[in-house]
Amino acid sequence: MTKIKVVGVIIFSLSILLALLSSQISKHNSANNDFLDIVNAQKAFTQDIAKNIFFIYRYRKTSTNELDKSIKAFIKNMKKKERLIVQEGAINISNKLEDITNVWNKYYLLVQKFRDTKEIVSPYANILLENLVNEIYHINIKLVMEFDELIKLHNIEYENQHHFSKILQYTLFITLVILLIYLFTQLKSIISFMQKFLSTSKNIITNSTIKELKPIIVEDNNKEAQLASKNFNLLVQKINNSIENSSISIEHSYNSLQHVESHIEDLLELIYTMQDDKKIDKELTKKEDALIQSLEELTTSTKKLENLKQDLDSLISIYTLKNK
Amino acid sequence: MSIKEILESLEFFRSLDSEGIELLSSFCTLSTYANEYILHYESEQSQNLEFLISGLARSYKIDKHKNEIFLYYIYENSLLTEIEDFKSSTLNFFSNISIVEDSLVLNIDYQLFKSNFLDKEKLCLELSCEVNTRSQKLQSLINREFIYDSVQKVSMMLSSDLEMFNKLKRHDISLILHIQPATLSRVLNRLKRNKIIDIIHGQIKILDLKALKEIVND
Repeated sequence: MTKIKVVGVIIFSLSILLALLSSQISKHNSANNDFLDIVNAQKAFTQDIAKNIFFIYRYRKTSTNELDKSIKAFIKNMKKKERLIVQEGAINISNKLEDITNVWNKYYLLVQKFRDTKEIVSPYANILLENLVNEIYHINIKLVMEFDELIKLHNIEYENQHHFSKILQYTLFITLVILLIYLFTQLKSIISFMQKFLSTSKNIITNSTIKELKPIIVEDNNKEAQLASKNFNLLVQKINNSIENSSISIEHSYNSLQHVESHIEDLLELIYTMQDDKKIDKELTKKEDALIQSLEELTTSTKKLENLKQDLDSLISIYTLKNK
Repeated sequence: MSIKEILESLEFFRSLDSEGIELLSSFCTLSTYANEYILHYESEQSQNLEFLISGLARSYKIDKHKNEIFLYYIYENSLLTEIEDFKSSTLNFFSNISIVEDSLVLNIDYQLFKSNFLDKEKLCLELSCEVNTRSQKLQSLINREFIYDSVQKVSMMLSSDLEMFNKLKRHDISLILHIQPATLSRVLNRLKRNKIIDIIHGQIKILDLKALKEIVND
């Protein structure tokens, strides 16, 4: 029973630990996903900016509203990302972010130049514009590549940081499963004992007689189950002994009554010889009647005791109980 | 004898006119039973009211040790069935009834008897008398079992039913009186020595009936 209690406490503690660890890992996963979402969004925004540049270059009269929106969204996202990176606290990622910021600044400067130059209508301005678009195209590719590297670095960092947590999580889970299997094997023997105990007790209660009272036989090594079965068997043995003792007492009473009967018969013979054949002594006759009645009652009692003994004999168990 | 003639000869139905006898005979049957036949078992239910026309029956119960507990004899021209509840349409047997001598039994459909006679307040007095007779037998049983000692039991049977006493074996008498055969023998010796009875070839002859009754009432 002590083992089961200790294992129960360990299982409870491990379950709480596992739940806390899982919650922590889940939080980290969520933060990781948020970071990846932001980086992917940044990539998408640079693409959008490049796409708008190409469109505006092709169709000069097109509004720059969409381009402005994409630039604003990129800058807003950039701030969120910086906050997440600070939380991560990884140096190589911070460096990479700095690189991205530098590339972005170049990119943004070119975009601003494009905006200014596109308003000027001259052959030289057209040549400048073409060069700018070409440059924007290359820097955009560089920016996307930088983002991909950032994602790669982040994933490596994430894997390094959570490797220990994962191993700990698996270890806790396997330990918990092993402990549960052990607990089940221990409980199985207790449940088996309880079932035997209930079945035997039920038999004793429901049977009208206590004939063939069987002891509980416990095969497992559980100390508590063995102690309980020993106590129960002792009780069963006491019941059988008490019935056996009652039977012996009745037999003694039965023999004693036979002795008394024999003495009364002698007394009756004495009264017969005392009585005169010619005279009837009323007092002696009354005494004779009383003796006849006493003999009758003694004989009846003897027969009743005999019947009672038969009843008790039929109740006595034929099983010899063994102390374990 | 026909059923009608039997009914007319019975004291129980004396108050009925010919029309009543005719009606009653329409739902009556006769049965004959041999000695030792068990007519009814304890707690059995019956739809018939039964009269012992001739012969002898006895009422008894069985205890848990299979011992027979004699209650009383049922003589001819008396009701065999017991009526526990006048409102009920079925009849229950309190004890086992067995035939002691070859008997003729009149069976009356109780439901028809009840609706045609008892419910019309006919034969109610006669039935009450029968119930009263049964009650007296039970009183006698209480005296025999709880009040009288062995000498009084034997004296009572000798004074009230000497014919039956001489007819039965000593073992059967001891069973009826619930005493040991040895006790019966002792009592008879005591009565013989006191010159109250005489035993000639196993048959009892009462010499002093007054003394015998005095023992019973003592």
